[in-house]
Amino acid sequence: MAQKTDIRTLPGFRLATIGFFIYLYIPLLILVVFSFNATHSATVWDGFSLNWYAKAFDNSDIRRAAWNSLVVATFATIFATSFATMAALALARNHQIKHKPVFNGVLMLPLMVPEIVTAVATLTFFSVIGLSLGLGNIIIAHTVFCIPFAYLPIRARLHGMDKNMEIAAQDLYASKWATLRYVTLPLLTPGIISGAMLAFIISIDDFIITLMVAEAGSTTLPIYIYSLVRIGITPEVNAVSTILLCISIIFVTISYLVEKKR
Amino acid sequence: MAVAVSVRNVKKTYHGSPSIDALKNISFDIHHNEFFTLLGPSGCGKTTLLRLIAGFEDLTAGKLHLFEQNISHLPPEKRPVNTVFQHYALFPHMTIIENVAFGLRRLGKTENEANTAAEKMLELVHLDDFATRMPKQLSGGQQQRVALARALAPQPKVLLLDEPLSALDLKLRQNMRLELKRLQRETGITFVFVTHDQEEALAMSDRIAVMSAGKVQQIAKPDEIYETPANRFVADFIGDANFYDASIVKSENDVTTYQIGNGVHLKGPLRPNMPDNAKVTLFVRPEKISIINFSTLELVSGEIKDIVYLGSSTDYQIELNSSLSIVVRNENQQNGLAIAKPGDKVSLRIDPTSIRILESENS
Amino acid sequence: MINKIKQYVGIMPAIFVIGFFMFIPILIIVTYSLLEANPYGGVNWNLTTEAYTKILYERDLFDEISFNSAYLVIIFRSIWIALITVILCLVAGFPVAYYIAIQPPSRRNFLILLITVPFWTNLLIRTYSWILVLRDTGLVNNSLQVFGITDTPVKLLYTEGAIALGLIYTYIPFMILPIYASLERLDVKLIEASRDLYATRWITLRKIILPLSMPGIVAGSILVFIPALGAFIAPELLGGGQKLMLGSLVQLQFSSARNWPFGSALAVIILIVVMLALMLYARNAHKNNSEGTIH
Repeated sequence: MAQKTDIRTLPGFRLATIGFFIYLYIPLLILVVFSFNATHSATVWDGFSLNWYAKAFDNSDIRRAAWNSLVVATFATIFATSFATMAALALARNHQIKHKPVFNGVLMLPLMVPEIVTAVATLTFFSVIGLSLGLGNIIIAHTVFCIPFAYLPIRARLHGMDKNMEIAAQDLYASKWATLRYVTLPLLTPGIISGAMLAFIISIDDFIITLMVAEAGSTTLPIYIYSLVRIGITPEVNAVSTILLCISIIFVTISYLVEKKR
Repeated sequence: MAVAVSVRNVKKTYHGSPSIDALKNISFDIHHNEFFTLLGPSGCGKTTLLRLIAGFEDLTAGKLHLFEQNISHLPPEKRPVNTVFQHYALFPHMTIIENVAFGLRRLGKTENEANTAAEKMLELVHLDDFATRMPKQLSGGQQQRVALARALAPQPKVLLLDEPLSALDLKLRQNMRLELKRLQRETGITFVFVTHDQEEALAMSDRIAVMSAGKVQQIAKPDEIYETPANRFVADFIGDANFYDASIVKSENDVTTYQIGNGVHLKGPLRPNMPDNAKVTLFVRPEKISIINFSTLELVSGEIKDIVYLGSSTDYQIELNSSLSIVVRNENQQNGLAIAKPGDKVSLRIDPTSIRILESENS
Repeated sequence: MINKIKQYVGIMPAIFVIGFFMFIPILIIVTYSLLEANPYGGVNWNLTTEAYTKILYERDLFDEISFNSAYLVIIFRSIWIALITVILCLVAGFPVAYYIAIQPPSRRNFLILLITVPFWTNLLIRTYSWILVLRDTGLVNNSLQVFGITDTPVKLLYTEGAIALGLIYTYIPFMILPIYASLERLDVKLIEASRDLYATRWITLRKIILPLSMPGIVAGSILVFIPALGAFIAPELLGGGQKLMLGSLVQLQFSSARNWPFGSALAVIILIVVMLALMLYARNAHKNNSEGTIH
């Protein structure tokens, strides 16, 4: 009813939107459904089973890859989020800093360079300086491109924050550090959590950069899935993918809810 | 007199939880060539009614006619009415002349014809030098006049104005009132003007419809609205007033004595066909009362509690007894010196003819 | 002085990490693109433009140079597919962005979340899911056969169309979100004013809504174009490695082909195209900003 009377409606746009959401979710739905398939087919339904999940959990290669992914994502998130928080605080609150747009640009650089270029550049760089730290290499690479993802929600939160809070704290005899500790950081926490969540899923989902930088033995989950897909399409791939999908969805939702709660 | 807009049993309900009845069965006519104002507090339905006439929203029930053409369900682009928006709604990506020519172009005029007509409109609002500027390069008052020119350019049968002056500062607002009156006279177009500002309404309108809670409370000329309001809402919304619940004490020689409180009596006109001991509401405008510096038994008397200086006048809050007070407004004729000070005992002269008796509220 | 330096302490770790592990690596591949390839991987330190000429010419057994369009075809295919992706994302994304923008706020936020959730899920998995839909025994072909429209499976996977479909699927949120942002700010009164001044719905779309959402459209186009140009997963999985695109070609040079300077040169070309796109965007944004200044 409200739709019909709204002067802004354009005929057909509603249908286009519904079609779009079907397009957006159908492939993922199929992927999830067939991860529960009883037989060896990823496209013909033969009944419900959890076989493929059992098989995936049994597979020691998958377990190792999952562990690697977790380690990389955890460290990359911690580093990227701390650096991003420090940078956001410095840029938003230190008024004497010159060339702020330049610093902002540098922080956004990983978003602007296509991933494939970052991937080969990082690979080349590591080989030039002879850095070979196993998972360490991947953690470094991930930290770099996770920084902007952590930075953006934190900066948004800082910008939306009432500066009078900090002024009020200082007025009530709080030192610079006390203000940061008791006022700014607590108010900033939702932004930091949100940023950390995003950094974590970006790291755990990364494929191209990891593919180029990873050395033998430091396979992550996406790399492992890729090798499985190349061999053949089985519900086992669907099962592993579904698990990864769930992790991402849980993390985005948390990030969204934290962000929303003002 | 020809009827420009006829509103018949118009209802508008916004469905939702809860549903809101923005307009509850409204009917009235707006005459051709008239400066007609819809006046009321926010949420009274005045803007909704304007938007229904413009065609931005569908009416839930009823009929709208424009010079006898049924426009109830026509889309806005098919209605020969134009709107001046509250915050002007100038197209930010178009120059001033493009803005003004927009409607003419849509009506099928060639670019040349449209531009010539648009330039004429800009002359009418004294902005002919600004044709090639962008809207953001103009001041608020100038943008306002562009919005007027844009809405007048297609020569609508009725011009709708949605609180067009509310975003301007006081001086500019006062100038624009005169300007709007002039434009209405010169173009001969019917203006339907929406405002919550009673002063604006009184100053410009030929007739005013006072609205409240989705209903029309009174339609009348400005002086009638002020002097003989139809009900308590109208009396309260327009100007200031003292209200009293009263009962009749006695009636003689066209003058009735009312008791408005313990031991306080007021003399006023008799209301026809009123039973004895009937309860009524009396009201009296503060400027119709005068303060007398000596006391006689004939007059109402009290003690000054508070004095509010208002520039051209001063308000005196006077306590009549422990639960009753009255506001008296006095013109500041003598160098603005207060004629009394708090604590003074004073008497009040109230002409019986200036006291009004109100019907119960129409709701 | 010390106080001045202290101000910068906070930003230094992030700047250092990005500068050292991203900016310098890019400088290194720019350098590498100008060096001679070592057949066993890595480079010999001799300056040469060999890597760039390889894009246009090939050297045969007799050291004769002749024109070779193979790489040029890949470059143009990449740009072509990226452009098609941008256009289709715009055509499909604009109505969605518009429809969402006119919803009540609570539903708006929910729909936006629905759009962003797949975006945050694994790119590889999202692309893989399209294999399940498009392959010979996939959803589409199965349905076509069940309904008797075709007898034999239609070849959908491993086509340029499949690549484009996957790329649109991946990057359309980048188009929808900026357009949505500009439409959300659009004042309804402007649409009403346009309709009031005798413009129909569609003329209002063309004359008012589209021009005013231009900043969003331009931003979205660039945000889609950049990653689509260097895309790797979609061409690999949905193109089956048969329709090579720039991303795969670059990856190939650093893995099996072992021609790092050539790979670097290709990466530099991608960077240049991206930088041109960004400059175009910056100029556009600047123009839009300065238009609004007073007098």
